[in-house]
Amino acid sequence: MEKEFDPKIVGFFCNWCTAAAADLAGTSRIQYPANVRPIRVMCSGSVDASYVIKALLEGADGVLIGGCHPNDCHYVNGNYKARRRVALLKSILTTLDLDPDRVWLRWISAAEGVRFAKVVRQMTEEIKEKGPNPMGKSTQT
Amino acid sequence: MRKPRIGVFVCHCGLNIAGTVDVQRLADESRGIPGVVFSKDYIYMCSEPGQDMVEQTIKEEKLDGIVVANCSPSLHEKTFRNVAKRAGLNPFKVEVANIREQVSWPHENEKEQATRKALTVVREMVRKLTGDLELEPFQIPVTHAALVIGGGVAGIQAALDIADAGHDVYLVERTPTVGGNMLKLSETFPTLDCPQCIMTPKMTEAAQHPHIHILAYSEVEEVSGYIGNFEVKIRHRSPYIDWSKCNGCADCAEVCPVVMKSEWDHGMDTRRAAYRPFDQAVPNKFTIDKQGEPPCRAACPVHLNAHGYVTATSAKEYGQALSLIRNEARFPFAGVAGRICTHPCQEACARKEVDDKSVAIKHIKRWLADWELREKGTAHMDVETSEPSGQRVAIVGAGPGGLQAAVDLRKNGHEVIIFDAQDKPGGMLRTGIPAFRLDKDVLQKECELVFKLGVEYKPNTTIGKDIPLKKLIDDYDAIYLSVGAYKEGKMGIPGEELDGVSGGVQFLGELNRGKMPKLGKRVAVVGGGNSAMDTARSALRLGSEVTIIYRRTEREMPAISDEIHAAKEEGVKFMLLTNPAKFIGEGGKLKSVEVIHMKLGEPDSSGRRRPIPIEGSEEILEFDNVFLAVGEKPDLSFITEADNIELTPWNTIAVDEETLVTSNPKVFSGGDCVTGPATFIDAAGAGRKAARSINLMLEGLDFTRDRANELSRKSDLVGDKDLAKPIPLSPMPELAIKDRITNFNEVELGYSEEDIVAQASRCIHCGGCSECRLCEAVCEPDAIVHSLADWTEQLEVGAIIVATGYELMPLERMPEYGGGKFKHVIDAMQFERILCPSGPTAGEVRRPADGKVPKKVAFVHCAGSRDPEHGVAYCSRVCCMYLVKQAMLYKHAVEDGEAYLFYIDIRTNGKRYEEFYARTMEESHATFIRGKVSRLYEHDGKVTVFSEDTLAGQPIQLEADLVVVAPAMLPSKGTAELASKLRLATDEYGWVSEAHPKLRAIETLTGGVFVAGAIQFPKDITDVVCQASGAAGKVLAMFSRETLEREPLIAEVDPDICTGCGICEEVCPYDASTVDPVKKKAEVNEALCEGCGACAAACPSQAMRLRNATRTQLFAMIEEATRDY
Repeated sequence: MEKEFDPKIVGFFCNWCTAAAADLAGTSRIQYPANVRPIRVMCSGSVDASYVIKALLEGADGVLIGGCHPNDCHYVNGNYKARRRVALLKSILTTLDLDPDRVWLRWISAAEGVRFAKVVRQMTEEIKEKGPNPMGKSTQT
Repeated sequence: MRKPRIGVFVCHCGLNIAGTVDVQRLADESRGIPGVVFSKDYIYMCSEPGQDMVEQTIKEEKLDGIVVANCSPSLHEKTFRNVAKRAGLNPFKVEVANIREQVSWPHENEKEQATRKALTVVREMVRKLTGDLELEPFQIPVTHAALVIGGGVAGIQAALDIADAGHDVYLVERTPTVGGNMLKLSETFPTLDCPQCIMTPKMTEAAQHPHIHILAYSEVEEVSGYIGNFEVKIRHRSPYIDWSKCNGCADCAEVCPVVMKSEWDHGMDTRRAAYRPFDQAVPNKFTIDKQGEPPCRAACPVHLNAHGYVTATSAKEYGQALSLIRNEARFPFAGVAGRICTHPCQEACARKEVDDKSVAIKHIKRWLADWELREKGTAHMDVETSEPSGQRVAIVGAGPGGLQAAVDLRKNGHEVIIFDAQDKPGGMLRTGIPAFRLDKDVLQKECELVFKLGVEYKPNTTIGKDIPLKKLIDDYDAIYLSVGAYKEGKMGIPGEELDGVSGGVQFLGELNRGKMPKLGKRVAVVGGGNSAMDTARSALRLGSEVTIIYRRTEREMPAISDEIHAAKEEGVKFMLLTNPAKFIGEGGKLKSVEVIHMKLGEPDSSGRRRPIPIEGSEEILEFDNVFLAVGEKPDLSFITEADNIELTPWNTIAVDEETLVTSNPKVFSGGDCVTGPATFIDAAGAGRKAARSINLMLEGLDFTRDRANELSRKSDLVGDKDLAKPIPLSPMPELAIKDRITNFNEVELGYSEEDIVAQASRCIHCGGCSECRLCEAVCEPDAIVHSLADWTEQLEVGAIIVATGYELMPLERMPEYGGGKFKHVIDAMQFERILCPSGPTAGEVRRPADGKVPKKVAFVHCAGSRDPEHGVAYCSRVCCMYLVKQAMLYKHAVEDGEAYLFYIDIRTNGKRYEEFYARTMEESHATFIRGKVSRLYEHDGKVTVFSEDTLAGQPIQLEADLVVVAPAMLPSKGTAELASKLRLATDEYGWVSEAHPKLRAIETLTGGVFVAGAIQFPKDITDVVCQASGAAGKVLAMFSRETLEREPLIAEVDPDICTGCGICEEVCPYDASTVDPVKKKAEVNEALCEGCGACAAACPSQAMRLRNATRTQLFAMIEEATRDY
C-alpha cells in the first residue's frame, strides 16, 4: 500500500509576530499538523530569496514565511521588504515553470495563535493536494 | 579547526513535553548528531537542580556549546545564557530548541510525529550552534541629559525628578507656557484640590531649577542617534518678542487692537494677538500670534499692510496707520488709492464670509490721507534712503508705476531721474481721471512726496523726440519704461475722421488741463470701461444728454460697478447690445450714427460672451458728438531697433513676467505699456517689482531667483467669524445728484471719524497679529521684534520622555450632539473653565452664550468614547469621575440647580473614587440616569436631551438649560509626526505604544525613549504622575551608568567582499549602515543596528551578514528542516 504523502514545509517565522503567534497557538493548545518545521528569524525582511530556493531544492514541498502585519513591523518596514522580495521570487519561480503557490507569505501577529494554526492547516492541505515538490531531492533518485 | 563539543539537554517540563515527545529517544538520538558529545534529559531543566546539572556538565564535559530543548526562547534563553556564563562558556554559544510551544503542545495526539519534529528542531539548533561565534556585548557611552517632550503635569513631574538627581533636562513645550491640560481644570477629584494651587508651584520650581531648561513655544523637528546618544533639533517658533528682554509687563497686550479667542479659556473668552496665555504662565513672557499673511495684504500688488492700518485706525491711532502705508510700505498714494483704487484687498477680504460685505479698506485709506491733510496741512512720507550708491536710474513716465519705482530705487541710494512728456506728474491719474473722482490737489501733494526724496523730475520731456532712448540707455545704469497707454483705439468703421468723433481719453485730458470743450446737446460714448464712464459723466457735467453705447450687456462691462452705478444715477443713458456701424456726417461734421443691435454668443478668449450682430437691426440715431472709449494702446514709436527692446505682436513691450526685464538687460518695463490698459494699483505694483529687480541687479545680485507670485499672492486665512462685530458696512457719503452734475467737485465726501473707527473695527483679523506695530511704541524694554524668525537649536541627550498628552474629540465630530453649533452645548473642558475661579466667569456658573445661570444641567457621558461609530472603541477612563465632580461643583455653585448625569456605566476605579461618587449622589443629590444620550435638540434657549432610562425601561426627554458633553480623549495633535520622528509605534487610535502592555508599560520599542502620561492612553492625574516618575526612574537608571551594554547580535560587513554599492544603506531602517565615501565600503554603526537582517538579505555580494544568523547557518538549518524523518 502506498504511504500517504506527508509534506515537508519549512517555516520562516519572524521573532516578534509569527514565532510569538506559534508560541501562543501552543500555549492555547490549538492543534495543527506537524508538517511545518519552524526556523525562527529576526524579521521576515531578513529572509533571503536563496533560503527559499535552498529549501525547495532540498526537497521542501512548501515554504511558509510569516511576518508582522503591515505597519506593525518591529523593524519599521521589514515586512514590506519581505512582500516585495516574495512577489519577485514568485515571478521568477513562474518563469522557471515552477509552482509559485508552494511559497506562502502570511501576516500573523503575536496575538493570532488561532490564525497561525489555521494557516498551517490550510497550507498543509493545499500542499498535500499538490503532491510532492518535483524539484525535491526525494524525487531525483 | 577543533571538533565541536556540543551538549544537548532535553527538558521534560513535567508532562508538558514528556507527555507527547519521547524525551528519552530524543536525548538518545541527539547523541548521533555530528558534534554532539553529550545529551541528557531531565524533568525540569529550568529548576535550580536542572540549571546546576547543566552548569556542572558544561564544566565536566568541557562543552563549547549547548542546545537546550525546552520551552520558547522568549522564556528561558536568558536563563541558560546565564548558566553558560557561570560555567565559563560564552553565553552566545547557547541555543534553545523550542519543543514545547511549537512541538508538544500543538501536536498532543501525534506522539510519533511530535518526537520526529522535536528531533528536527534540535538538529536545526545544533547546526546553528556549530556556526555561532563567541560574542561579547559592547559598551556605548551615555549622555547624561534628558529631553522631555510636553510641558503638562507628566512632563513637569518627569523633568523635576530627573533634574533633582542632578541631570540636565530640556523640557520642550509647543505652546507659550507649560502647564498643559491639568492647569485648566477647576478642581481635581476626589480631593477637590485646586490645580492652580498644586501645579503652579511645580511650574515655578521647574522654571527656577538650575538643571531644567524650559523650551516653550518650541517643537521637536528632528531626532537622530540612538539610546544614550540622541541628537535632537528643536525648532523655536518666533514669539516676535525677544524673551530675554520681555519683563511680562503686559503693555503690549493692552495696546494690541487685535482680538482673538483665548485657547486657555477654550474660546469662551478673548485675548489679544500679543498675549500671555494666563497670568501665571511659565515662562512669564508675552507672545505675538502671527499665523500668516492675511488675504487683503496678500492680494495687494504693492503689498500694503491693509490689515495693519485698518487695525490701527480701529484703535484711533491714525498717525501710525498712515505711517504703515507711507513709511513702512513706502507708498505715497494713500489719498489717491483711497479714492480710485480698484481695491483687490477688498475683493479678497474675508469679512465677506460674515455679512457679505468686505471691510471698507479703500475708504479707510482715504480717510487717513484726508485726516493728515486736515490735521497737518500737508502730506508726509519718511523713507530713509541709503548712502548714495553712485548709480543712476532713468525712469520714463511719471505715472503711478514710474513714481513707485522711483521711491523704491531712491531708497537704495540710487540717483533717480524721471522723464515725463506731460507738464505735471501723475500720468493717467492726472489726465485720464476726472476731478470729480480724484482731487488733483491730493494727487499733486502725493506726487511731490516722491520728489522730496531727492528724485529728479523732468517734465515736458518726450523720450524719442527730445532725447533718444538710446542716449538714456548709454548714460544710465538702468532704465525703467513706464510710459502707459495713451494711443486711443479706433473702431475701423466709416466716418471716424469726422469732426465730432473723438477719443474719450483725449477729452478727459483736455478737461483735466482746465479746458472746457464745447459739446453739442446729444453725446454718445462708445465703450464699457472706466474711461467710458468717466467720459460720459464728464460730458454730462458739461450739460449734454449722454448715452453710452456698448456692444454687450452691463454684466460684461469692464468698468467697476460703482462707476456704472454712479453714471446711471447721474442720468447717463445706457444703450446695451448695440454697436456703431457707421458715422454719418454732413459737411465733414458728425450728424448721426448708424448702429446695429447685437446678441450674445459663446464666450470668447476673455471669457466674456461674444457679441454677434443681428442682421437687419440697423438703426440711425442723431448725435452731435461721439467719444470713442474702446481701449487704449501704448505709443511705442520712441523705441528704435538700436535700443534692442523687443515688442510683442500686440505692440506692447515684451518683458519677463517675473522680473520685468526686457530683451535689453539694462531696460525694464511695466504698467500699461506692457499689459495694455490696466489699473492704477497694477501699475504701482509693476513699478515696485521692477525696482526690486533693478535694485538687485545694481547690487550685482541675481534678480531672477525666487520671484514667482511676487505681485499678487493669495491667502486662504480667515479670521474668527464668531468674533466679528455686528456692524454693517455703511455707505460712503456722497454729494446729492443735483449738486454733482453741474460741476467737477468730488462726489465722495469721506466718512466721519466715528464712522471710520466703526468701519475699521469690522475687520475679523485673519492670521492674528496685524503688524500695526502699536506694541512697539509702548514696549519699554524694546523687546518687540516683528521681524524675528523661527530659529533652531541642537541638543544632545541620552534619553527622551514623550509626554505630549491628550485633547478632546471636537464636538464638530458629533452631529447628534449639535456638531458644535448649539450655543448651550459645551464640552467638559469648557465647563471646567466655567467652574474655575480663574475662568471666563471668575468661577460663577453662567452659560457662555448668554451669561444666564443654568438651573438644569445635563451631563453626557461617553460622547464618542466606547463608540466604534466615532472610531473610538475604548473607554476614556476619566470622564465618569470628572463629570461626577463637575456635578458636585455645579451643585455647590448653584444650590437650587439640578444636575442630571446620563451614563452607560459609572467607572470609579481609584482610591476614594467610589466614595466620592456616593457623596455626589447622596449629599449633592445629583440624578444619575443609566442611558446613553441619543440626540440633543436646541430650541428657545433650551436643549432637549433624548435618552432612555434603561433601569426603568422607558424613554426620557429632558429640557436642560445647559448640556455638558464629555468627549472621547484623543492623542494630542501632531502625535503621529512626533512618533515617526522618534520611530515609535502607535496603535490604531494614535496612542503611543509601550514595549509591553503589562510589563514594560513605560518603555517604548525604541531604546532610550520612554512614555509618560496620557499620550500612552487616557489616565487620570494620579496615574500620569506615577508613570512620569516611573519614566524618570528609568532614565535615572540609565544615567547611573557611564556606558550601556548592547546585544552584539547585529550586522557586520566583510570589507574584502563589499563593493560599496550602498543597497544596505538604502534598506536599513535605522541609518545604521552607511558607505564610507573614501573607502567605498559599507560600515555598520554598532549602536544604531537593531539586528533585523534586512541588509544581509539585500546584499547582492553577501558581504553583509547578521552575526550568528549567517547564510551558512541558515542553509545548515534548512538542510535539517528538509531532512526526511
